Amino acid sequence: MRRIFMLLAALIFLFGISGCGLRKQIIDDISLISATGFDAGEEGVIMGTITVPRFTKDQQTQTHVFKAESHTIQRNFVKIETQVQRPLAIGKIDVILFNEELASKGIKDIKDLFVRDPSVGSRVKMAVVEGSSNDVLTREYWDQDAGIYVSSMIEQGVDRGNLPDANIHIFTYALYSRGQDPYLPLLSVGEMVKANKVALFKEDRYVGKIPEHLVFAFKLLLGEVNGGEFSLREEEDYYAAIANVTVKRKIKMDRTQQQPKITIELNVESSLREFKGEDTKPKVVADLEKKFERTLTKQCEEIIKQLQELNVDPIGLGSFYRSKERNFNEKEWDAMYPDLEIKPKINVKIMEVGIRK
Amino acid sequence: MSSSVPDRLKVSPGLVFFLVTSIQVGVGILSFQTTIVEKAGYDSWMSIIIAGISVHIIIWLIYKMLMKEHKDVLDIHVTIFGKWLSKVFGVLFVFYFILLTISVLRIYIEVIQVWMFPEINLLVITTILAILIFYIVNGGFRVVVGICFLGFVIPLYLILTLLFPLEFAHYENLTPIFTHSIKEIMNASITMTFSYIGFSTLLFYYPFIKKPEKSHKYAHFGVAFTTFLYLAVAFVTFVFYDEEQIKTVIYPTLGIWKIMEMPFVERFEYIGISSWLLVILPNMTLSTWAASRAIKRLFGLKQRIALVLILVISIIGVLFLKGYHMIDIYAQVVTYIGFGIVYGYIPLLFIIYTIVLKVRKSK
Amino acid sequence: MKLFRSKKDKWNKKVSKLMKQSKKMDDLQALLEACQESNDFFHYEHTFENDTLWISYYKSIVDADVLHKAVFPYLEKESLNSLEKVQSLIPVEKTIITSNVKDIEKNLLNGHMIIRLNDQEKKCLVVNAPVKKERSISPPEVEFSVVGPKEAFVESIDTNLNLLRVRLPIKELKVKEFTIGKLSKTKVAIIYIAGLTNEENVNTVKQRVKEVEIDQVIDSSYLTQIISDNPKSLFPQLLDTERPDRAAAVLAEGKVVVMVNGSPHVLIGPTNLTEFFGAFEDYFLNPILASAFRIIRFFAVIFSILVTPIYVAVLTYHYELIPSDLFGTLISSREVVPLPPILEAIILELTIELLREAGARLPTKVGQTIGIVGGIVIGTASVEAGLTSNVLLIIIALAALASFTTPVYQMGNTIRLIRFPFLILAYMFGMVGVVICFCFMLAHLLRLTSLGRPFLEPLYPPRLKDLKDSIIRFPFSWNTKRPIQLQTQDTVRYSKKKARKKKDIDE
Repeated sequence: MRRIFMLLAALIFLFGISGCGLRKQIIDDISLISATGFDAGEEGVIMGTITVPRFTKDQQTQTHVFKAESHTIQRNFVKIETQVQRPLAIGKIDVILFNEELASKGIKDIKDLFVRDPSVGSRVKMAVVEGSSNDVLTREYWDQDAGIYVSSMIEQGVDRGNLPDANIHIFTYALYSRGQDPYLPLLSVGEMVKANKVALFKEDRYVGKIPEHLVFAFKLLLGEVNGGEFSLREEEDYYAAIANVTVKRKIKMDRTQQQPKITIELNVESSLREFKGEDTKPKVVADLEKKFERTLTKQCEEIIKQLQELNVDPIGLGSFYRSKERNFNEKEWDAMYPDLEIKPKINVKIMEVGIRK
Repeated sequence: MSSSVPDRLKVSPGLVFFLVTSIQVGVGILSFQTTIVEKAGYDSWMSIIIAGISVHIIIWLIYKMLMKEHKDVLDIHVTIFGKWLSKVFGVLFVFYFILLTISVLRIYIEVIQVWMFPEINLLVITTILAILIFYIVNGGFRVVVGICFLGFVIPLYLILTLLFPLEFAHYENLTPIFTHSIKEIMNASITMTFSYIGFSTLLFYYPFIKKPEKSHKYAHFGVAFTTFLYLAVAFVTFVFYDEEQIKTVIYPTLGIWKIMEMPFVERFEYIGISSWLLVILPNMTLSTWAASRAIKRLFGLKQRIALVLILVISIIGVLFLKGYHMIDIYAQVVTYIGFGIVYGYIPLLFIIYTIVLKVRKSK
Repeated sequence: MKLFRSKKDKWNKKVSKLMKQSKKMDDLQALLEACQESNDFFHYEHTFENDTLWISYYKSIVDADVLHKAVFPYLEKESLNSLEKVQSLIPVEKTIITSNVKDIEKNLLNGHMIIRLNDQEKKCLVVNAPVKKERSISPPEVEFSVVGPKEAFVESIDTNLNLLRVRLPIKELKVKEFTIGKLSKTKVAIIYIAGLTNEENVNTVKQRVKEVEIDQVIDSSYLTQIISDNPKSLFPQLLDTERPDRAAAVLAEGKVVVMVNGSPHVLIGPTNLTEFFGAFEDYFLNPILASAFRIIRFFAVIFSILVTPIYVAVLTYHYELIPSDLFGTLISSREVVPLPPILEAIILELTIELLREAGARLPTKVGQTIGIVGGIVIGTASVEAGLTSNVLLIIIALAALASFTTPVYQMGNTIRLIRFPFLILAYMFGMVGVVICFCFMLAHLLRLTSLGRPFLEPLYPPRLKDLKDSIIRFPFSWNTKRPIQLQTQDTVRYSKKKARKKKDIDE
């Protein structure tokens, strides 16, 4: 009995170790995809580009770029699979790019492909590209891999700069949410690739963008700013910049009337980074605060107007309304939204003026 | 075959806490959110509490019943139904525990298949896990309790992982409350009870507890902890996912882990799923132990042989179940049986037993 | 299996045959003749002034000085007509007169000499004169400590008992001696404190020692392998120590100590897993420091067991886990390595084992050289040659280092070996395999007992009171009770009130 048992165990062990082996994905035997980009081609064709970083022994990185065209994404991958040296592995993908044309057709199906795959993480970044994503990924970024470079560029823009945070989870959340619309960073392509704008979505369709000078105010409205920077230039030789901005957002809703009135209260705290003008006396600082408030309020109003015109709600006002309103109806809200009275109320405080008077 | 147990094999009453909690928390906690949200939306946190309270009541009934003569359920069967009919009811329990083991084992392997190794060989992994179960149960009840204890304590660190998704929390998801009708909430409560069952093994290990009357409160603590755990997990999932989004996710708890990023580990779900084996091990070992013990008591078969039989049946059962839908349906059938046993059979047994004892006394 | 058994049976028969032969020699003359076949047996007639005496002894185990200084001078001028008179004249203690051949034989072989009036006489005077050749007490080498006592047990059981009694000068310290080993006749002592140690534990040890069937007991480790609860287990279930201070301390806790003549290590039981991670030096340090070191040691052991399997699992299956910043380093270090991670790991692990074995077998000075040569030259060369990746080299070196932190040598060996099943399962099923193997280990540990007491205690069964001196060490004033695991008769060590008396400010 015992001997048979041992024999059985040994057999299973041998069987397990040799025959039925699982598919191995040894890290240096796979082509890790670092980024992928999708562009709309003619007649509904989708052009797919992927980048595969190649780490050499002397710690240098090269980028291998592959391209394929097809009607479906999966088919693209199959086509690329025939070009690569080692099997593709999607698990460490960092960025998914879409060009404007494709994004305006809707990206839900493409996004779902990545959401469904268990090996793709939830922190994968998504972005829209002005122009062609293939162009972004085929450029030279010194000796860095294109995918990793673009990914870190967006990441630092979110962490320190003025870009709002957006990854595949946040996008999916906003997509399903009944009171919020998604947004993504928008890369502008010129001499350099820059992550400096925001793409606005209605459902999964790209409908408009926030220009560069309004991105900071947009991030303020999302209530996300934590260490951003903003500069002010009203007259020729009057120039000031604040940094280390933190914001506390409070949304207030007045529901006495038929249509609710919404006030977005933003309490901004910051320190002065650059100032071209007189000494930073308390009066001057107070004056400066006023100026910042004025500019920001104007910018916010501009953004809100644009959002209402496009009937998109990336701020999540609908979600806020839903959490207060027992009989929330998504359609009613959508109809109501463009004509709502939404007011930003901004309160800027400059806490520090640096180490120079 | 009597239910008396020598003292050296007994465990202290405090350990009942772990026995109850560890068998309740299993594969259910990976996916219960989706099923209850489908019924009662984000009001379903109330269903978790309601289901928890109902389990408290059943535990109370079980203790009332068992403490009368300090016997296990098989002896109670004999008291009520006589020598032969009682065996039929005993066999029902045996079947239920085997089905439960298969269901837990299969769902866990399914999770591994979907998330980690799509091409894993079912026979090999099942046999290895079956050998593991055999090795544990072969050590006797003390070792089974030990696994329940360690299977609770070691994975406790996973609670910390609930803090990471809060970075993306939308607390406004939780209000307003009571947007669903009482009926919907009750409906979700019934679904939720599926995540609590399994504690009916208490009916079998009761004689193995030192001073069992003292263990009553620990059983309740156990249920209370499970309720708390489910609530905590539900809270985090609810603020992390949108109500519509959660319905599209099969394993929301695993989805939460996908967002975790630590300097040394970028994707936590692989570690999480692997260490989940420790969480489900108590489920499987305790129910196979109960089944093998019941077979021994019912038919006088050696428990070791009964155990081997059960494990062979389990392996065959696991091999038979293929594909997500089949497993899902199977799991639902098992939970319905469990529901019937816990909420139908046990209260009934309690009533009959009380009456029988009263009649006997008056005689 | 059967083959082995039959061999064993044959061998047993041979031994018993030999025994029977010796039993036949109830005749003293035959005994002496048999002894004389050895050249180191002295059997001669010594002539004094008036009389002669027959003297016989093994010169190799008898101290001839006793004969020359304490026997002969006193007999010189006397008339020696009876053994009783001789006995009264010699100033040596514990001499006996006997004609029991068995006793005589036993004594002859244990460092006694016999004196007779003439060659035909059956009555003998047995004089105790053993030669004492033993190592002097030296500092502990295996369980070295920087602070604290510097004495270690030696091979002689009498010296060892002395070391213990000096530390516990109480009459309750009981020593029960047994002789085991058909050929070696090794003295084994079971030591405990009466009225404190649980009788059940003492009886278990006594019974197991009595039942030992073996021809030779060379060292206490022989006994460990026989009387352990589960001799097949990789984990040692009896703690062995060479420190008399540790032995004395555990006796006071209520444990049983087993001492074997000829072994500088004593066995301690019942023990538990956490004890293997505590060095005795911990008690000489501040409790906070000691706890920190114990935690470090504990994690070092976990690290040592798990790190290589996790490396193999992650690199073979779960590349998603690896932080992006690490990718460059990992891939570029593995780029030129032709072997899959598992082979790479096994080869390096085996290399480390080789180094360790070579270092242990060779004389100290050569051993050090081998360590350096192996460590530096082979390591660097294999990385240069592209046989292994340097990341793995670092990991394996660290794991080896971590495995040395266990204060008990036996446990270190276990940790060395237990890594391999983990490695293989990691290769088969990735992280799931690691966890499966971990579960097997847990189940095994749960099933283990030490003298019938649970081996995982105080972790399981959970006993908070015993946790105070396990992975962390609380101050002495907190540990006022003896471990529950031992079920001692007297549970209180010292008064909690006095130990933890608190004074108000400025009192």
